[in-house]
Amino acid sequence: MTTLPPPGLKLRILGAARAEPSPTRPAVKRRVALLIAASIAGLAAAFLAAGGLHTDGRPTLQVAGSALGWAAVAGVATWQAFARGKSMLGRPSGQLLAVALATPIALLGWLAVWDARYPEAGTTCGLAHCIPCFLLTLFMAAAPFGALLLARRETDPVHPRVTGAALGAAAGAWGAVMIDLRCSVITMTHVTLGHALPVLVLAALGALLGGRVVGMRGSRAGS
Amino acid sequence: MADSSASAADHAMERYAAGDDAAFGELYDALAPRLHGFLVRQTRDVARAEDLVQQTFLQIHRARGRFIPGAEVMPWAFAIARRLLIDGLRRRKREVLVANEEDATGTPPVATDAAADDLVQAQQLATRIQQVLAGLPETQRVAFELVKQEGLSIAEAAQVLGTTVSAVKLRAHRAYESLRRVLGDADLQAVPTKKEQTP
Repeated sequence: MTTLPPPGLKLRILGAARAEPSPTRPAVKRRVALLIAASIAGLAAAFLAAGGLHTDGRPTLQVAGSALGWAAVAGVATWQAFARGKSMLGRPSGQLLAVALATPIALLGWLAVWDARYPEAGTTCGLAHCIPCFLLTLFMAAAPFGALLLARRETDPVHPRVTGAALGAAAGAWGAVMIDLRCSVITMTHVTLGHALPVLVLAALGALLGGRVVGMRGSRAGS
Repeated sequence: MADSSASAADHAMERYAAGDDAAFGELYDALAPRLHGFLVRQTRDVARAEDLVQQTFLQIHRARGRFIPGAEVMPWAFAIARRLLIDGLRRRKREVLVANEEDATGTPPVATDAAADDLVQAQQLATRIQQVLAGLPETQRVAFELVKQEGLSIAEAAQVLGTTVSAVKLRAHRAYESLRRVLGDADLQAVPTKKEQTP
C-alpha cells in the first residue's frame, strides 16, 4: 500500500531548495513588523488626509468610548483573522466566517450602547451623506487591508477565501474606527450604510482576492 | 511509526524555520514516504506524484519562516499536497481517478520480508481496496485515506480538508461502510494503517 519515493527525488528537492533561498523565521518577523508599521502609518495618514478628528459637539467621553469600543472590536477581529493560533492551517473556517460577519454587527451593537447613553449627542443627516463616509471608510481601510493580505500572502492551503474575508473585515473595522472619530452623524441608518457596510464590502473583496493572494499555490513552473 | 515520523518532522521543521538548512533533509526523510504514498494513491501516476512531492517540499521551504513554533508539520504538509493536487487537476481539467482502472503504478508493498503467498494476497486485497475507494466520492475517499491509511487523527484530517471533525467522521465512516459491504468484515480488518506498518 505504501510506495517509497525514488532516491533521486531527495537530491532533486534539496538542490531546488538550495537554488531558491527562502526567508527564515527572524526575517519573516521583520517583514511582518514592517508591514504592520506601514499599515499603521497609512491608516494615520489617510485619517489626517480625510480631515482628522471631528467631534462636532459630541461629548469627549462619548467619542472616546465609542472609538475605543470599535478599536477593541477591530483588534479582536484582526487577532482572530491574522493569527493562526497553534496550527499552520489557521483557524476553522466557521470561526473565520464568524469574524467576517460578526465584526460589523459588533460595531453597530457598540454604537447602539453609546447612542442609548447619549441620545442627544451627534447630528443627523440624509442618506446622501452616507456616500462620503462609505468611501472614506474604504479609503482609510486600504492600508491595513493591503498590509494584512500581504502579510498572509500564500500561507493558506485550505480556506484562503474565508481567511481573506476575515482579513477584509478586520481591515474594514480599522477604517470604521477612524471614520467614527471623524463623523458625528449617529443615526443608525447612516452608521450602518456609511460606516459598517464598508466592512462587509471589504470582507467580500477579501474573499475575492483571498484565493489568489492568501492561497498557497503551485509553482508556475510546476505541472 | 506515524507518531515518530510526525515528531521527527516537527523537530526538523522547527530547526529549519530557525535557519538550520541541514534540517531540510531530515524533514524530507520524515515526510516524503507518507506524502509520496498519499499522492500516488490520489493520482495513480508515480511521475506526477513525485512532481507534487517536490512542489510540496518547495512550498514548505518557501514558507519555513512562517512556521508557527510548536505547530504540527504533518497536517500542514498534507494540506499543501492536497491543495497542489487540486490546483493541478483544475489546470488539467481532467479527472484524477477512474474506477476499475488498472493499477499502473506497479508499486511494491512495504513488507518486503513477508512470505510470497501473503504478499500476493496483500497485493490483491490492496488492489480491491483501491478499486472500491476509487468508486467512492472524493470527499469520502480522502477522509478515509487520511485517517485510516495515513494515520492522521480525525482532528488533523479535518484541518487538512478544511472541514469539521464530525464531517470527517461521517465521511470516513461512510467510506468504511462501503468497503465493508464489498470486502466483508474479515478482509477489512486486514487493511493496514500507517501506525501498524513497519518501514
